[in-house]
Amino acid sequence: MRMSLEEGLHRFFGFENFRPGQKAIIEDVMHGRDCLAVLPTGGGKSLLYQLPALLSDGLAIIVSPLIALMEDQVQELRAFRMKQAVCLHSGLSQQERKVRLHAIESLKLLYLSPEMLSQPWMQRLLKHQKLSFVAVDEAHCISQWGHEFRPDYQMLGHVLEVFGRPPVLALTATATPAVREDIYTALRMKENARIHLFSLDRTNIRLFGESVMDEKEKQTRLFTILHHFQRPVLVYVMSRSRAEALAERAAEALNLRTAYYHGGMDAADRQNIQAQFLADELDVVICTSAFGMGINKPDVAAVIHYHMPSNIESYMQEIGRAGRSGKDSAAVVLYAPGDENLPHDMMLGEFPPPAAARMLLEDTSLHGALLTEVEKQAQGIGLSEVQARYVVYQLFKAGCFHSTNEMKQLSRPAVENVVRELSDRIMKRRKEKEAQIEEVKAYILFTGCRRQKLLAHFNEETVLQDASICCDHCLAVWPPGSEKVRDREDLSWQGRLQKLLLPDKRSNEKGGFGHE
Amino acid sequence: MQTRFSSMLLLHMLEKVETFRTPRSVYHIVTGKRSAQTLQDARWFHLDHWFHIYPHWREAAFYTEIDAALKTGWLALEEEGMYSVTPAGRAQLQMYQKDQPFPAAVNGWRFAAGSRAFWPRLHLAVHTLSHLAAKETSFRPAEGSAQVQQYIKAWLKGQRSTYQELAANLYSELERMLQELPASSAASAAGRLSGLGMSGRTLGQLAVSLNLEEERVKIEWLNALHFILQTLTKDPGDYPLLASLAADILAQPRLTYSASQTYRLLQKGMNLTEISAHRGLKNGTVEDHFVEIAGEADDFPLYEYVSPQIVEHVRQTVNDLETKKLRAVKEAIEASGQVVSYFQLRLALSTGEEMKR
Ligand SMILES: Nc1ncnc2c1ncn2[C@@H]1O[C@H](COP(=O)(O)OP(=O)(O)OP(=O)(O)O)[C@@H](O)[C@H]1O
Ligand SMILES: [Mg+2]
Ligand SMILES: [Zn+2]
Repeated sequence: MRMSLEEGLHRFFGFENFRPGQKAIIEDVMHGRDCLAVLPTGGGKSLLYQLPALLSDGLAIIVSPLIALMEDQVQELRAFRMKQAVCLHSGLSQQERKVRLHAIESLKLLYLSPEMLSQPWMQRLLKHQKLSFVAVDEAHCISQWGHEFRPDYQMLGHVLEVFGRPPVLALTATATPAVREDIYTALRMKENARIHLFSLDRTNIRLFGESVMDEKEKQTRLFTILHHFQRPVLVYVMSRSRAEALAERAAEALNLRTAYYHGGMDAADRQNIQAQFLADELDVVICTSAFGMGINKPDVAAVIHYHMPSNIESYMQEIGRAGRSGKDSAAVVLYAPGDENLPHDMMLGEFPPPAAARMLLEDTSLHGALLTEVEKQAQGIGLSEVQARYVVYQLFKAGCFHSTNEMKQLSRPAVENVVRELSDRIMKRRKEKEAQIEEVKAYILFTGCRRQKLLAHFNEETVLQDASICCDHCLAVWPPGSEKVRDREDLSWQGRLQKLLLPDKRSNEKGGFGHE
Repeated sequence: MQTRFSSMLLLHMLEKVETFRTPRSVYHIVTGKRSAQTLQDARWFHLDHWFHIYPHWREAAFYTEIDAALKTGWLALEEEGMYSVTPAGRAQLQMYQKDQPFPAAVNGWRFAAGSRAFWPRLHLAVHTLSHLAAKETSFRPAEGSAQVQQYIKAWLKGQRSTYQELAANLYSELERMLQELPASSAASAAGRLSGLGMSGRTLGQLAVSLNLEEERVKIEWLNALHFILQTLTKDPGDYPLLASLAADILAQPRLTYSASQTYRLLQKGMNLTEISAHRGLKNGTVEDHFVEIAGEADDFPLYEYVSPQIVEHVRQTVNDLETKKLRAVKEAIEASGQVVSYFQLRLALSTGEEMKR
């Protein structure tokens, strides 16, 4: 007889009770229903596919956006003696992939990137497996990246058909109604699919925003916060070089264990930093958005945005690293005039000049060339990797390729048409992204309750909680413990000696000391 | 950018050794190498204050510092791996010292080792009394070493006053003592102390609040410790509690282990040849010990090995020639018809103090 859900929860994970929503969702998954689960960060979404996978016959596929995230989850499962989980991604050698898939029949969970899932060999392999269900973790990526930079996310629905349409579970913590719609369509979810919506509010994260004059003041402010605040702390920045420079300066100035993390580092280094962070060997990690998604470290005390994120969804996602044990924690965003230019410039840099499409389409040597070759050539004419992928995917969507993935030769008017449409499309996406950046800026400069503002973005109304733990504008104070340190530091050396050695002085001054 | 103390100290030291020594000898001084050569260099060039103050400086980091000073134009490369401080370097050094004078009480030669022993005791004494005076009897000792813990336990047993009185007295001694120091030194020392409801602050934290570089905070802290030990040697009666914490530390002359063995035999009345025979050492080695001892202990029988006239002559020659190259000094003395061995030369110069112009 099959184990009950509670037994499984206890036996595999050692938990006594389900968290709100978990049981209902898991029951749906076990019954083979399509589900969209929107739960807050740290709400326990991993369990929603891990437990059913362990309890079901067959193999569950988990589609996950980041290598680090997959590796981390698999390692954690294995640490709990659940050896029937592996992950596969582009970072592995052919040999390593073979080893990992060796006993595929006995596996219960297979973590894959969407790109890996699109590979024909992978599809052939999986077609012969009994799949229990497919889970798409961080499903908002479908909408955030799927449109342009990770087209394989848009293909997921099609891939599911190849496998005879197993049940689908989509999970996210940052879904606006529009994003939910995107997920729905992209995964071709069934009409009777269940939607489980929960409040995304992270009540134990106090929200702060601070304006500073310039870069210099910002750095000083950051260091002051790092100096006074509890640790560990995550600091988000926009650029790789800034992450490195700030980490170096912070380490020098503060005597803290500081590291940086960004997508430009090699995989081993990134894994090391993540492992150190999880093992409490670091006080501060200065990172780009490449770090953090899904990372489950219970005691992150604060998430500080040194540069503003590009959209509210990312913000929600990134601050969600804080306070996962339920303890008081803080999210701070620092803003200097003109900061919006950073995400703006970065966004502009992601789009290719539309004329690039013309150059590719009129290049006779590319007629009949495969998609991947066209992409290579696109880089050859000076586009960045991201731009190249974008333009080729757009050409693909505009019907410039045969079904065999070979590029068509188009007539001149047809080419012009494609270029014009591409240009319009880029214009439109730029506007959308500009609006998203403006939204973030508006959040930072907002003078009302930040929590209300943030949640309104997800169509959620907040019931005002305790104002003292809400946000700076509701007069929340920094989480307990952090201010006291500051008081102490303002002591003169004489005051310090007195407090140390003259107990009467100490009790006399207690009244004016600290505040809780 | 903040000018760093370590680079300024380097300039200062290279200025002192002029082109008589390579930077390596400076490196050996600050890291406290206890070779006869280094000990002697430290005395000769009046760099004994900085002896052993950077015991953990890596050689590579030291040379990076040199390279940086070269690049900035503060140093110029001379022949045979020697460096000279350029006018720009001198100006920079002056500017730095005007702004933040080198801490005056640092004396690595005399107190580097002593302060390393003294600090844990002071820290633990304050930490313990801080708790006991408030009637907190269960706490985790601030210093982990069992030896120090035992020492403080015994020290407390030997006191007659109540804990409150002891704490108050220690407070007043420390307050009086630190009062004599620049505020940055006092704050660095007090900042690193801990006790009931107050943990010690890191160098980095102190650097932020004192607006100094971390390295400088450390030196300020050392400055305070060396000052305390210095004061305790002079006026132990004014600071009975602190003096009792340091008594045994101050009693020992600071010698290498092997030299201290030689010193013991010397105190028993043996002479150089007897000691070499007794210890089975070469004469040269024991000579090195003698030079070390002569610079350290007041009771060294200097004139049994070199006549007062020669000592005087040597010092005179060094002043006249403005050189400390042994060979040059020896040649000059021998040119005037006197005979002097290298051993005697080194002995004559080992006591240093009188050499100051
Ligand atoms: N029923 C439960 N009882 C106790 N702890 C649980 C339960 N379910 C999940 N957890 C724990 O909650 C923590 C957060 O879970 P998880 O990482 O799955 O969050 P998440 O919803 O995926 O967050 P994110 O959106 O940030 O990825 C984990 O440490 C997990 O072990
Ligand atoms: Mg997750
Ligand atoms: Zn609020």
